[in-house]
Amino acid sequence: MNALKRTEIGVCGLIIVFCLAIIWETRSLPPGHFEPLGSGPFPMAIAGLVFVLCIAAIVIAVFRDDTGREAPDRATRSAFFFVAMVLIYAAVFSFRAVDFGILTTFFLFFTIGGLERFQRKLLPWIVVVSLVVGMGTSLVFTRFLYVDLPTWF
Amino acid sequence: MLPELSAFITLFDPWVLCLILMGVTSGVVVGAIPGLTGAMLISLMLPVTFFMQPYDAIVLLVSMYVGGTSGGLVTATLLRMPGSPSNILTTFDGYPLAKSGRPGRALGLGITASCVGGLIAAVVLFTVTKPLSILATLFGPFEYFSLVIMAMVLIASVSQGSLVKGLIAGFLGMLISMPGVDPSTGMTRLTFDVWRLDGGLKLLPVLVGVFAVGQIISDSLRFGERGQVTEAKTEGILMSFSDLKKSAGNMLRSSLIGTWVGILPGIGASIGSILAYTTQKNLSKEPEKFGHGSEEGIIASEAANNATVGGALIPLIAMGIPGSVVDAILIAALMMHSISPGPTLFVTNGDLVYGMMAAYVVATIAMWVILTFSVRWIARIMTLPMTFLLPVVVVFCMLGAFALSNVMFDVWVMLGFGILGFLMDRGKFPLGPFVIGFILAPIAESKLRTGLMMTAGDPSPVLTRPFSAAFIVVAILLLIVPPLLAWRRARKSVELGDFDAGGD
Repeated sequence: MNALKRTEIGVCGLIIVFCLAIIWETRSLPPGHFEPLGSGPFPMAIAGLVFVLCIAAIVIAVFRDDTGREAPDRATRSAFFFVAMVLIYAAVFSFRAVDFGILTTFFLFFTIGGLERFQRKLLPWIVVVSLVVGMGTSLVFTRFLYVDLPTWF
Repeated sequence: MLPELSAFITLFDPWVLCLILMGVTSGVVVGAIPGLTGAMLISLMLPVTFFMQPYDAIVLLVSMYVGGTSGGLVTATLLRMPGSPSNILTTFDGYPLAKSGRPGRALGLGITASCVGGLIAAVVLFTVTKPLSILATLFGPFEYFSLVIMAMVLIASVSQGSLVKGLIAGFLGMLISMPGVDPSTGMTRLTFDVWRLDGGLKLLPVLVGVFAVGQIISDSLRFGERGQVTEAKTEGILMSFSDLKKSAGNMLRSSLIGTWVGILPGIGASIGSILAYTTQKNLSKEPEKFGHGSEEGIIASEAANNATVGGALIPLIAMGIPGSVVDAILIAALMMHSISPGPTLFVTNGDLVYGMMAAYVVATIAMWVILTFSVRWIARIMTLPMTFLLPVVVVFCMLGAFALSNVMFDVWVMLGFGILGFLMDRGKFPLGPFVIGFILAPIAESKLRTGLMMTAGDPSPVLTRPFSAAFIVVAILLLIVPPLLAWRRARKSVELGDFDAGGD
């Protein structure tokens, strides 16, 4: 089974679980008092429809001949590093313990630097971009747009 | 004074002109960078528009829309990488023509065709929208419900990938919009005891997640890839009068195709340019040149994809139904400013509607000027490494989601939908229907429930009222015809295969 089929079946599986959860939740909703339909039937019908369509998509994927459609290899290691850095950035941001400008500067420096393998010729550019974007966005969004970002200064 | 004329006069305020120039320039630059799209830019700019007047916000976003649709032609021509999906067909002929030593000519044809396409669509926009909105006032709740169902099927049937996947994406988008307060009863539902969900999932984090973060994760798999760049020489970038005369028929035809495709709910610029390109190839005296640097091919593709922008604004203004993904974002922008798009928009916010249409015209002309005279510099920006760009864009995504209500929950929602968008993209599920389903679900549900209240629970008007029945019939045809055609094609190819095998 190739990567596309695995992804299709995996996504459909996730959606099916979500649909079942929605159908389960709609069962506890009371019927309508002032109108005939009530809160539950419409989401239940849509969830049922999506459920059936997902089953159909899985069946189509399983029986489809995908010979010669294998996706090319890609830079998955860099992508994993990048996504991990984004999640760490969001997690640290959510604790509100670090100044947003400083956090963003560090995030950009280590992410861009890591992706470019800290090449010496690019380091000045990485520092400049990290500082300008990190401190600049913090300044603009807190002082001018009054967004409640964590700040130390 | 005519409202159309007054809208143009208002646009000549220096601040508004400045917004148009900023919008078009940023749209062109972002559209020119492969991997970044106009939809991404506009969804990221939504939080900034909270702080603006509704008129200024809409002018800025429409200008970005025009710029974002056009910028991709630079990359498509010089790099053989479409800046946005709607420019794919420009790579077929633009790049070979540029490679043959005429990059200025290739760019000039694309830029002028984009401008002409946009202006022709504007004529249709100004003439058709108001009558259509008057017609739409005749629609009752059942007509709106059927219209949404037709739009969902239409979007799914023409999106990339299979019909089943398009329908899954569209209806999943509808389902995702349902947790929160029930619009008819005011009760909370489907919140799974998560109190943050009481207000429902907000559009902005979902949009930014699916479109921007999902795209960023996809792009991160291409770190290190470099396209083949052709130098952006500008000799021959201005089309002569005889060129314009020679291509007039092609430009008009392709623009009208693009406009019509734009009007159909949910169909993007990609389909418009494919239809116009195929039509021109079938009508051309030199079809063999298509794919090898055909000037007709560039003109058809670019005139059509820009015309879809104007076309897509028509259902948005007249009925409140998004003609494309970016229109769904524009609807979100209107709603954030407490403006309800729909047939009454001409009455309640006439100045805004005409302002939006006039801004579209001025932005189209500004796009021509900006692209023609600065394409050399834009070509340099598009070679910026993704390793620098994507982390910076992530920062803006975070800020955009957080600034909405100053809560981290929205940031996590955005990241969650980013991962979902990435997985759906990898599994070839189209994302357009998902977002449009998310926008249309409340309309479909509330209209159906209002209709059922009026008829004491009798749903038969869905099929007995003429407009509603027509929409349902179109939806059924759209569900049946494409698989039937595919099956016939497959059968024909099998028969031909058998015949060939027999012949051997």
